[in-house]
Order: sequence, then C-alpha cells, then structure tokens
Amino acid sequence: MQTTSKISPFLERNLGNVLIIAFLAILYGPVLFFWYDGWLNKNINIEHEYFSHAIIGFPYAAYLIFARNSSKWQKLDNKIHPLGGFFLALGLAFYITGTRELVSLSFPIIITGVMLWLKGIPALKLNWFPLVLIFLGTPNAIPYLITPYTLPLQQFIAAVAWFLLQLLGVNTQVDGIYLYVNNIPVEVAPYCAGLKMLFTSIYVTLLLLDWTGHLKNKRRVITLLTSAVTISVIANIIRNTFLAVFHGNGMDQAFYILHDSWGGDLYSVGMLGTIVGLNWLLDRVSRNSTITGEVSNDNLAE
Amino acid sequence: MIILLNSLITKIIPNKDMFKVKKGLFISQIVILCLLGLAIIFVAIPSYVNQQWSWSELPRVPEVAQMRKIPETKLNFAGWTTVAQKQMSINNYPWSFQLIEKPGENPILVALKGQKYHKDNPEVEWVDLQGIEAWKTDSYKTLKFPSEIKPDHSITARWFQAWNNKTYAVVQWYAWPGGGHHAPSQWFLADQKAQLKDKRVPWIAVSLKIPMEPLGDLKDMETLAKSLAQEVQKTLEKEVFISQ
Repeated sequence: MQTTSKISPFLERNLGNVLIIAFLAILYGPVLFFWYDGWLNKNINIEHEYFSHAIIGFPYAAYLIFARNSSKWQKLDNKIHPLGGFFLALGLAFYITGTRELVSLSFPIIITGVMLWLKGIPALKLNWFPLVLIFLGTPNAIPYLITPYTLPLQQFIAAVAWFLLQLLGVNTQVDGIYLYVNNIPVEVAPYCAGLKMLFTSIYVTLLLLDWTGHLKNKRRVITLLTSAVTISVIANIIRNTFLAVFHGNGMDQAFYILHDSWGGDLYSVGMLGTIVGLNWLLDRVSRNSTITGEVSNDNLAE
Repeated sequence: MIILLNSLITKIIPNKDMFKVKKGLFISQIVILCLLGLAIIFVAIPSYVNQQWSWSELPRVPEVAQMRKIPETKLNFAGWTTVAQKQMSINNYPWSFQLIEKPGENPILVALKGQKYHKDNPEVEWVDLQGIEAWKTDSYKTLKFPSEIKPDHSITARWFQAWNNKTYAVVQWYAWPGGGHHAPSQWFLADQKAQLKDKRVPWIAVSLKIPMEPLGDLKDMETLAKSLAQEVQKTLEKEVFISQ
C-alpha cells in the first residue's frame, strides 16, 4: 500500500480506466489527427468532408462520456457482457487490417466494445447518445456509395430551381439535372444534391437538442429534426438557383465564392443559425403557453 | 450470530467487486488492456517508428500508367476494324471514343474512360454519358458475360435501349481484371478486398452503343452485344490492365 499511495489518489482509484484511455489514445491518436487535418485543410477527399461535423461532435461526445455521465458510470455494476468481447475482437481485427475504411470503422466499434465489456447493456443505455455522435462522425464510404442514387433528388432540385427562376422572370430551361440560364448549362451534380448540408444539419440538430435539454422531449425532437431537413433542402435549392444565375450571367467571381470558397461555408453557417433560431423560437412559444396555462389555472383557482 | 451470517453471505455471494484485482483495476479492464496492447505492439509501434500509417495513403494502382494512354489509343478488337478514334472530354475527364465495324454492318461506338489517378473512383459515368448523348432510355435489363481471366466469373452489365434521333442498344459496365459490374458499389467491394492484400482494383468504364431498328427488340441484339462485350473485356484485360 505504501507504493500505490504515492500515485495521485485519482489515478489510484481509476487506474484501469486511465490505462484503457491511454492505450486508445496511442492506437487512435494518429487516426484522429489525420481526420481533423482532413476536415480543417480539406486534403483527403470530398467524402471525408461529409463528416466534418465531427469537429465539434467528437469533443462534445467526450464531454458527455467523461464529464456529464462519469459519476453515473461509476455507479453502474461491473458486469462483463460477452457482446462487448465480440465488438472488441471485431474492432481489433478491423484495426489490424490497416485499410482506411476498416480502421475508421474500428474506432466506434472498439469504444462500444469497451463500454459493453466493462458495464454491460446499462453502459449503452447511459452513453447511447455520445455513441451515436461518434458513429455518425466516423468517416465512411456511405456518401460515395449513395452518389448513383441521388439522381431523383438532383432532378427535383433542378426542377424546383427552374420553377423559382420562372417566377422571377429569368430565361430558363430545365432538362433532367441540367439547368440552362441564358442557354448556359449548369449541372446539378451528385455532390450538389445537398446531402452534406443535410447530414450536417441533422447532426447539429442532435447536438442542439441535447445541449438545450430537449433530447427526451419526443415532440421537440421530431419537430426540430423535420424542420432541419426541410430547411436544409430548401436552402440547398436556393443555393443551386443562385449558382445557376451566376453561371448563366458570367458572374464567375460570385459563382466561385458561393460554390468553392467562403460563400458556401457562410451559407451553411447561416442555415445552421436558422435551425438554432427555430429552436429558440419554439422554446419561447412553449414557455409562453405554459405561462398562459399557469395563469388560466390560477384564474380557475380563484 | 446474525452479524457472522451476514459477513459470510457477503463473502459467498458475488458482488460487484468480485473481479477486482486491486483498487481501481479489474480483471475485465486487464483483458481489454491485453487486447489493445497486442494491437499497440504489432501495429501501432511499428507504424510510429516508421512514421508510416497504412491507412493514411491508399495503395497505388500500377495499371494507371497504361490506362492513361486510353484516350489516344486505338485498341484492337479481334474481328472488328476501327473506323475512327478520338479523345473526348466529359466533365473534364478524358474518354476514348472508338468507332468499330464489321464489313457491311453499322459501326458501333466503344466509349472508354480509364482511371487516371489512384484516387479516382467510378461514380456517375452512365449519367454523364446520357447527358452528353441526350438519350431517352427504356427497357433496362442486365447482360451477363464471362471474363477472360476468370471464365467462371460472370460480369453484369446494364443493357438498355436508348434513342435521340436514332435508336441504340447500349451495354455499360465498369471493367476490372477478372471481373466487372455496372454498379460502383460492386467495384468498391472488390477494391476493399484487394486493399486487404495491399493491392487495388483498377477500373475502366465501358459503354457500347450498338445501332438498332427503332422498333426492334433488344433481345435480337443480345448475341452481338454479348460477344462484343466479351471481346472488349478480353482486350482490356490483355492490353490495358498491365502494370509497368
């Protein structure tokens, strides 16, 4: 006992957990560095950027696991669940292959495995939300694999953009995924279908719901998620409409800013701001209605 | 007496600290540490030492050098003569458009897009082509034919009727050594399997445009389409999918 008391009491109490986290950091530090570098400098590929929401999602998940849920975690029984062993073995097998897809996938699988192995199903019940954030933030090939199937969405965007431009009195034709402004074609390409924006807005909505404490409020979850999807689809159609106009009128600078440069980022931020604003608005409306409810109750009491 | 019994019960019945090795360390945690430790010793440490992580860069595709020549190459298809060949740019990517014929028959267009760079994946080539050709399309089916390298493995191509002012029977697939499919996801799977062995699967998008009677039956074109598709696949496997 003399030797252990020299280490700090926190370390002594949590030796196993601290070591597991250290081992995970050794295994995944370089992977996470690679991912963050790819998100910040856009130097891996376009599919990788679909997961850039994890820039905030991963730290938030870590905060939930290590800060908010940690005392509840300590209180859970130490019960080994065999499924945890399965996940651990699967994750390690994936890690050892060394291929990009499987190494990436191994990250959430191993974390899930560790939790299940240490505390069983109650661990998943406690940490399901941060685990969802980690899974949805882990780069994978799904954005690539769905590109051949986004064609109907592209056609829909082109058709609605054409309709908007007709309303504005702009000379436009539409043919499938091609929009012609002044007879100059713009293709609504698969990567213009707004799936990145859609993924990001769903992810940010989940973060927002948790942050504002509405995650257990089923009605709010459904309302805000549907609104987020609607907002991001509409925002994307408007963006494509602008792009077609810029391109058709030879406004190359404006096109470049909105398509490849800071304009696109700013546009996304504006869209996310709209979702945050909507959540705030819903808060105010529901608060007002509860106040009126209380007032009318008071009236009844009198 | 009761106190004694109580202490006996707590000793027999497993409680939550049953697996505790010492304060703050459980057997379950040691198992995890051993497993993760294995990965650290055999994978992480060598990678840290060499400063090289297998996942940070995709393996190269040695066939790329040969595939880059496709846009300016007339390929020889046994039994067919080439009428013309030219490079076409579709979405800033070079394609080869090669017109071939048999004596007394309508010429057929063979369009090829070969992987130019090891990070290029097959994506929406069929949509691109349809856009360029301004096709209306109908009667989508699949056409199966064997590869030369693996005769027991059948390649699945899209097979449909297309028309603008003329009518065509069209065969499209992504060709790779010993296989092929019209869906990018199938190439992706093959490529993932190859990556397990630190290899890659090179690919070439192939589209065959065969003239046909406006109201003709696609079925009547099947024999011709299959034999030509098989010949194209064979030529690509023999002359293009070679590493230098």
